[in-house]
Amino acid sequence: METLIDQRDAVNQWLARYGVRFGVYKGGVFHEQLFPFDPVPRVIPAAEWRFLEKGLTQRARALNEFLLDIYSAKRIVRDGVIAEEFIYAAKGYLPQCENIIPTGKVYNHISGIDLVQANDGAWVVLEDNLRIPSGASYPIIARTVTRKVSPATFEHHEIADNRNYPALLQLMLDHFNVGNGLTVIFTPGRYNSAFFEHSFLAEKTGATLAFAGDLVVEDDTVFYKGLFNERQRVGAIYRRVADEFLDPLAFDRHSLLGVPNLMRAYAKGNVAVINAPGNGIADDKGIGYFVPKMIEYYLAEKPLLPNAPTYLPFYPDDRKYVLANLAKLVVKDVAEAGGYGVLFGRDLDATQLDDLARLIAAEPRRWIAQEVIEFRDLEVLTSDGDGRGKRKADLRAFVLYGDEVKVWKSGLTRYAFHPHSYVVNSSQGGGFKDTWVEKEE
Amino acid sequence: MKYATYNYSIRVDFLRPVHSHFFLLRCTPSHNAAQHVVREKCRVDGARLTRGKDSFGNLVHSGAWVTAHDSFEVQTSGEVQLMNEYRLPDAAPNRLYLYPSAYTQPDKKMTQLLKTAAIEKADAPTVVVEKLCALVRREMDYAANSTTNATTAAAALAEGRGVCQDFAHLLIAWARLAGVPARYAVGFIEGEGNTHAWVEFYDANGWRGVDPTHNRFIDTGYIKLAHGRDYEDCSIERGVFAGAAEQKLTVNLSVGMRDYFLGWGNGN
Repeated sequence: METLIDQRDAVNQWLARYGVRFGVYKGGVFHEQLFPFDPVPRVIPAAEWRFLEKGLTQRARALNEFLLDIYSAKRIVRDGVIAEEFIYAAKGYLPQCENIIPTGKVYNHISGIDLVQANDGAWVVLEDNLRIPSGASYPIIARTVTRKVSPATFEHHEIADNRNYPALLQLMLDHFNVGNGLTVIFTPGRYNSAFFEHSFLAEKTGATLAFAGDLVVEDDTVFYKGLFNERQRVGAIYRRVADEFLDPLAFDRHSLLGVPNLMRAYAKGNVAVINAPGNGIADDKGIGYFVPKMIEYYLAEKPLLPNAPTYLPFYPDDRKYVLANLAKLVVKDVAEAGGYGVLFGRDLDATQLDDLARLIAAEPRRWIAQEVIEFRDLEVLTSDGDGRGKRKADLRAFVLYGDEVKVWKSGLTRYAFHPHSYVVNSSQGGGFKDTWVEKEE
Repeated sequence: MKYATYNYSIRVDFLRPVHSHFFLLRCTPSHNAAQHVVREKCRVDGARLTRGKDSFGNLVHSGAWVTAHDSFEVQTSGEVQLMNEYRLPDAAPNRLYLYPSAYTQPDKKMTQLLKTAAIEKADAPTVVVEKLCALVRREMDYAANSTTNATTAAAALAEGRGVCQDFAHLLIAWARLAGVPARYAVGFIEGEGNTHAWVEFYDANGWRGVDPTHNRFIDTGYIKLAHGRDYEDCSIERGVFAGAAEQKLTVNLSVGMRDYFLGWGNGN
């Protein structure tokens, strides 16, 4: 481990050379930033991982059942488990996806579930991210580079190799591929914050990296247009383009990033779209609250992983509590993601708290409130003091739903930029760590 | 019962050739309890079409025309038997039709005006819709070309005028606020040079039609092409292409109706 720490500059130089970066928009201008890497890994013991694996698998299965139900019979609404407001008034619910059953009945092929570990060691889920979760490439590259720079570290530690992610991904994509066609990774292009990852995963899985103009739909079938305009049938699209831009004839008509009539080909079962369009309903922060209930409802199991303690001001009892305790809660706008629309009550003055209370009272469904979780600090290397510091960190675990559900034995550990900050999203500064899962004895 | 025929064409002339043209059409009626489609045809010279249903159950044709072309024409025609009653049985309404959509988002003026409609708790959906139709008529003047396809119900109300699309959106917005499930419908009626928009609302086990532009409940004479939350879900022709955007649109519609008798046996 010490060698690894001593070699941190070498590691960062390698990462810069690999081009490990993500894009951010600041004041409407696109910048590409290096994603700072901290060499001290997060280590998860084998037994703890076994539990996480079970809990994450359970969650992914229940969420898939939910999506299947919501875009068809809506039993969970009819049975009164979830109020209909949380479906029909949610931005992520897309009526255009009603009654389209994806191949293999899977919606959330790739979930990027965000968790934190509380001070008492309990893992708590923050978000499920079933749309286009990014970040799997960073730990793979970090592992590749650290193994190169400090091979001895990996002789002394029994750690599950995480460089198998592209192989797991490829296996899953092949499983859903329709008609033995081409598999493509469909990117919005180089101005997307995760473009680096799209090209990396395409290279590693042998998939073709496709841009908007490369894909055409004819006879409700998707084709990849080659260099000389030749057509190749596409069987699976791992798309990294958001739902609203996916097909200008079904969703946002001004989208230049989409594939016109892709939804027709998808509705007819002629192509697998990964993840399925419409998954945004499960990512709605208001719906996250109901995941433990979904586990009981669809799987008849006890939920293994709890949610962060959440209140929905939509319900009068919760609203009363939230308005009375605003100063100690964290309040989130349900339709926002990426660390935007998050307000910590303790950071607000009396006027701001009053304003927020008014907003909540006026539009209760738009907000959720959560207790601030005192989550565990992880050690990071700093450039000041004794060179060691503590930061809040989360873990994004990747769950692949193919022939069976598999949890990748690693994940993206992100830490906050500032010592006392709780916001770890890469779009808000901060860096990442490798996640080591210890091998079974 | 009426026997209706329609001939409808949409022609787009481009100033300069375009290519990579992809489109989605909702210009063919499908069977329902109020209309029986005897025959229908839809074609676009130069392009191959495929058929399917969208998630609202509307018949759609999708197509691609990849090579360069400087005009594009959709030609559709058919014969439809229209029942005497516009009533579409549905055991329970899709509750989606109680929620605001992009075009029917209510604003302050709408909620205030709704209070002046004198709707009573005990009012049946038909009574509520009748009162709301009167409100639409009170607040809106019909003025051709006064609004665009992008005009929302709130924007049309602010102007106080609009076309059938705006009348329909406004009635839908108010009906949903008043707790009556309502959806947008588009199709053909006799005596108009283009498609027409009206409203379907839910009333005890089924959907009924109401035409706020003509201020009447619908019995017969309306050929439906599509329904959905609002205009956005019911685009007759939606397309994207590569090339200069300057274009001229020409629409032709002729609808013929005659009364239709059943019951005369063979040989008469």
